[in-house]
Amino acid sequence: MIEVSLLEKTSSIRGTVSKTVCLNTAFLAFGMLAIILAHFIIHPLLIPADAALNLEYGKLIASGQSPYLDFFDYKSPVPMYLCLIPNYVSIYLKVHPITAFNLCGWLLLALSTALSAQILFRTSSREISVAPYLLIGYLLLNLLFIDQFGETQQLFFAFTLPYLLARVLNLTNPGGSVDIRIPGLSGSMAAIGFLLDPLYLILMILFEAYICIERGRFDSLSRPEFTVCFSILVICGFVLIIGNEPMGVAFSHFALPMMLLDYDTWNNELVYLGMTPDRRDLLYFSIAGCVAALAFHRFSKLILPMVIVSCLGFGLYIVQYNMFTAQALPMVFGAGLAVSLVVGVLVNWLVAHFKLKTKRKKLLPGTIVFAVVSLAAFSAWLAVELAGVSHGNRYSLAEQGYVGSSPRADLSIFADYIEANSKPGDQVLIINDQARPAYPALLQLGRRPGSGFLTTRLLKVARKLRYSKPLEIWQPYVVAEDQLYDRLKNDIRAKRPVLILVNQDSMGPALEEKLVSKELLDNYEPVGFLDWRDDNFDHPAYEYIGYRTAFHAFKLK
Amino acid sequence: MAALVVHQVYGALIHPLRIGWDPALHLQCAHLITLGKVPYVDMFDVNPPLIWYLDTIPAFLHNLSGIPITQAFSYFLTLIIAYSASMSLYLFTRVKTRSELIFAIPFVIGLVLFNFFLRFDFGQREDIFVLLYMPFFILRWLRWQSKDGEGDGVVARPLAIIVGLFGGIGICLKPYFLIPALSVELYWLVQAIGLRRFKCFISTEALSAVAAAVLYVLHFLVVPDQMRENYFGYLVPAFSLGYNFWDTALSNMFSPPDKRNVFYLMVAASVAALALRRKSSLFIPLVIFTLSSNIPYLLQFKGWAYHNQPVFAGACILGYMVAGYLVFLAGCYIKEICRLPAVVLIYAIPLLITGAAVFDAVKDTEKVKADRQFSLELIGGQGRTPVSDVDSPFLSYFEKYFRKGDTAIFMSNGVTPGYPLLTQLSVPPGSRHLHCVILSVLHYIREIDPQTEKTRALLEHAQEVVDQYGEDIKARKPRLIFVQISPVETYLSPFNFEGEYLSDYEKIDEIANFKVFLRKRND
Repeated sequence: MIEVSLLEKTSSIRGTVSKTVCLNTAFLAFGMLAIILAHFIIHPLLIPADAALNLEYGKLIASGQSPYLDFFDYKSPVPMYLCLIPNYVSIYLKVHPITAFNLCGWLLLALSTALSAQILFRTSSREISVAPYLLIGYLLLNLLFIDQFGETQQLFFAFTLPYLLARVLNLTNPGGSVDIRIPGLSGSMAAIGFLLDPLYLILMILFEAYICIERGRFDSLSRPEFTVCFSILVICGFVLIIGNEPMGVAFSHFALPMMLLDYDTWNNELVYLGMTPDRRDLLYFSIAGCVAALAFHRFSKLILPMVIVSCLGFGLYIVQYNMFTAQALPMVFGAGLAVSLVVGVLVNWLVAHFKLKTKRKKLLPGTIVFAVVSLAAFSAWLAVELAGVSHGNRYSLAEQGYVGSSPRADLSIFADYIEANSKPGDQVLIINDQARPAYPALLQLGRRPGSGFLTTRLLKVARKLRYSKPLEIWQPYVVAEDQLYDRLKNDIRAKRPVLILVNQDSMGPALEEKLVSKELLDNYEPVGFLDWRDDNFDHPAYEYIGYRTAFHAFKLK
Repeated sequence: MAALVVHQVYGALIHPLRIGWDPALHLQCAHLITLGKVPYVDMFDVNPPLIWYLDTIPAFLHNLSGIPITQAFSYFLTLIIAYSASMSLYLFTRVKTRSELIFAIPFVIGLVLFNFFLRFDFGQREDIFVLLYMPFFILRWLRWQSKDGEGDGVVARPLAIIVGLFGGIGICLKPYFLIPALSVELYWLVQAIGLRRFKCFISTEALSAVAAAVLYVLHFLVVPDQMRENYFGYLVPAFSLGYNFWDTALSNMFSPPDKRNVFYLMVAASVAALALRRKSSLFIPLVIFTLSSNIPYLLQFKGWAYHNQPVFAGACILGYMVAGYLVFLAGCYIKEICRLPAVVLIYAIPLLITGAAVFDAVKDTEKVKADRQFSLELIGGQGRTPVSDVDSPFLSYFEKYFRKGDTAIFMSNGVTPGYPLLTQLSVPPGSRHLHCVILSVLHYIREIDPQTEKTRALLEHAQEVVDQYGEDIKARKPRLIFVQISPVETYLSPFNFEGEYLSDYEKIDEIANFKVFLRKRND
């Protein structure tokens, strides 16, 4: 009989994990990580729109510009600064920034998985028996949501998963030997994760509150992983707000209130049918997963914390209201990991019940099976991926100074038009309240942003406030709003982007009101409309809020 | 609890006509049943008939006593609340683990108080489901907790039968309600693994609930053939294909400011309850009930606030239980300092609630006095009611043209604005079609769904509906007809409805997207 060595008896409490289990888990994990890596090697220019936007912000920071002063958004600066890393990788390794970004994301995922494995396999509790399922489940979720790879939410989970595991296992098993480097590293990573978005800080507070209420005391706050995490959060807060005062003031006096008011201001357009992505499937999965996991919670101490993460993730999902798939990831990952644990419990129970596990401690047969399965899965995936890209046109990266090429189908919407009407290094301005279609197209094609407004969502929010909130709320921001529009006009005048695309439907009224349209018509010639439907049928599906109305194109006179 | 029930009765006394639109429609259907009419033959609506059968209780009360039917409905709901609260409280006191008793009062308060936040959706099927199901839920909890492994002796058998029957009726009000109820049962079933308590799954109240469901299903075999054919052969297939007409966007389901607070409460209460799960074994099943109640809300996908009432109820009860525990902890602290019993604060809650109920009743009375009054004489009653309870732009036409015994028709693609107005004013429907929602459904099937033999057969009913309207207008001669301009006129345009059937009517006004037609001769 083949030894099914991922399976441990749920009821057995062991202080150490067998080498076979480690090895087999490692084979499967490497197989899945290899698939993810291969995907990004085959598709060097694939990146989600908001991740591409952060990467562009990182490039601007690397060139000496400051967030909220030289370029404008109301998102947290941490993802922007984090993107300095892939930018430097891109510069030194001569790979495209998107490829460098995906490589960094992959390395983070590998580190997160390895650290989680270290925490899980070092614990002297029965959680070891379900640890392989949790790790494989985690990687599987990343694989299933590969289109969202690099989004803030995916990075958040990669940064914080080891911390969550360390918190739960260290608290439930305080007698276990602790290598201080592990809580230190997981706490440091978690601090970065929680800083990715102010909302994640709320999630952290609620998660810690859950732990304190459950234990009925506050001693959990003195554990090393929390201490490290909290210290780094405090230091980063000081550095971000006080250390860089002009930027901190701009963020805390304008961008942050805008963000909060945006969360508080309902966009009635979203009521209309089909305006927001319909991911009911994710909600069904998460709710059913949590309900099932609650039924099995007494079989693993990790199940309830994952359900808690999923519940809090649901809160995050609805507070962000656009219903993008990426925004659902904390909810889905929490539920997915809880389900992985339930699967582990059930399989272990079946193994114990039907005595599937042999007493022989032969290492090889089971391990070979897992190695072969991993290799076969990797080869099959690779074959499918390669078959999918082999017959299509390719876009050479040589004109941007990088090695290799990408399937042309991976280029984002309007890329053909932008490529035909500008060249790498040119400045192009796309005025729209969402990251798409400017990003990832401009980054993929090596075009520079034609203004500090890489997306004009800040302007859209400011306008929305004026029409939906009482005077006393929006009055303090009017002057700042006018200054932003002046800045946009100055950018058009000074930077003279070769091509400007405008979403007349969403931004037209504001541009008319603030005389940006006049500035445009004075210096630019209208050259037609770009229809979304005419563009790139082979491109993978993407999410976009609202009607896909034609963009007006303007060329420099 | 008594204070809240009295508060409810008092509310019904000073607001005799207050009712929401869907409950008003169901109530009118129930009233028609008491007058001998047959559902889906003499009156058309798509909802399953159980709620109408249930609403015949207030309808009979109205027939016997002469009080406004809406007021009878308010008393009926108060009765259900009183049953739910008192039965839950009684059952809770039967819990073996005495330390769990501290959650009894918070549980009941949550169960009763969530009703006070429902406003126009008070009395919806979701509300009644929660009220009828919760005693059943508590009894199931007691049963699964019993140490003898079979759950015998938890309560007397007749009581278990009653609780099971009512629970079964609650669950059968909408097929969707089976999802949270089954999720909870599955949870308990999993908990029984290794404990050999599977017999609890088939207990008196469970069999009783199943019996209620079986009786309900079987009754379709004995109803008139035409009722069965119309319901299962036409309305159910049509609505299963065309109900998507009212579907909304996912963001509108959860995120608008007027809806999202329910889900935030759900998240906060669930997380806190899971953290306190060791204090009461009721927390996790209640979290499961709350979370799984989102599935019916999602399956319906309309974003109508009342669809998430079970979520709100679950979250509310959880919230009160968590708050109750905090109050108990505060009591323990006070005990140390003041030497008072720890539960004194828990028992202080009803006093506070009574105070709040009295305060609310006084404020409500002042508001009613300040409001313009509407005379109940128009509907053959006595006394007055605040006009805000019958707030409708169409009220003036009834005040001006309507006489007792007249009928009226609202041809709209929704239950509103015909309801609650027609029920409040005791206006008999001028047509067997209480609204023309079916035309929207058929329009959706024609325009969106792929055309098959089945859909083509269903579409033939559009002509039938229009003809039936025509027949009813000819026979019943309704005094007033209100025709929705958009979208109903579009549906009616191929049939030349106005020219064909409204020649005896004069268009007297256009208001709120409706054309108002008055019968020329009141013969």
